Amino acid sequence: MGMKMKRNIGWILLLAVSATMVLMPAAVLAQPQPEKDDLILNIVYDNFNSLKVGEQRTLYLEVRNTGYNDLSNIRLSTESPEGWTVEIKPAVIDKLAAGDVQTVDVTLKPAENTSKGNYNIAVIADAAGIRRVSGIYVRVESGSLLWVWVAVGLAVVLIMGFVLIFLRFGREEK
Amino acid sequence: MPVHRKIGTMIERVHEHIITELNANTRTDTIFVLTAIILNLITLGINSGIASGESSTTSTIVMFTIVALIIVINFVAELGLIRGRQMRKKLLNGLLKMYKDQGVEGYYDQSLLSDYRTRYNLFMLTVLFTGLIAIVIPFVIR
Repeated sequence: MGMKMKRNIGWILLLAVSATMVLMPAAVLAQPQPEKDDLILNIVYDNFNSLKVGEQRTLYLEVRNTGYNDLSNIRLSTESPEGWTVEIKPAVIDKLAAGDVQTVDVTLKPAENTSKGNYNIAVIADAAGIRRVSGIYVRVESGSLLWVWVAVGLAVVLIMGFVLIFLRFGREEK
Repeated sequence: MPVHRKIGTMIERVHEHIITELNANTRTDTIFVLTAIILNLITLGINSGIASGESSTTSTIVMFTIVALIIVINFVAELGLIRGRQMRKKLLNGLLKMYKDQGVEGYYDQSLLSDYRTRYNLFMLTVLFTGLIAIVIPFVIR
């Protein structure tokens, strides 16, 4: 009777240890973890990603505090192609509570000599050792009709040449 | 060999020669028209591709070089077609004279000559307009 009891206790102990080993990690993972401070930058495009030379556009940047602590003195800056005017308003967010979102205006204006193409503007947020970078993708279209006029000029040259050749060499010999 | 029989044989040979020349003329003109149109369309594709990409000095130079090629191709095609039309007219006039001498000119309608002229002018217009499109569209895209 005593031997049987001891054996049962042994099995119960083994079961308890095994259950603890299996369930412990899951229980630890299920605990809410004290997360780090974090920021997410999200550009609100509003169906816009192209602008013409000489044109100015304003985009909206959402700065979201996804951490568990309030963040203060979040500095926003940009890295843009040479000659571009990029303004951020406000450039500094004094305080952003945990879970809060602050919308920031980002005004873009390409340089006058910007050629047609795709450009990327980096928006950088710095706060208490956190640095987050997000890219704004912009396509610049040519604002002038210069090339259309060049095409018209070349077309006129071709037509004039055709007419001249036709008049010079196209006469019928009698 | 009697003289009149010898002349008859010569006329037959001249007739064959004229027909051969007319066939060659047709082939040459077809090649001119097709080459010009195909090259215009190819250059349209190339220049449109360049124009839709990022603009740079290199791409602009390449575009203008291709435009120069388009202009040259079109002028050469037009000159070729004008010469082809004149040659065809001379050959057909010779043929008509021959038919007249043989008393069979009534079988060849003289209005065919003006029809050929119209057809050549239409070919030239087709070449011209494909050339115009090949020049204008890439610059509009740019």
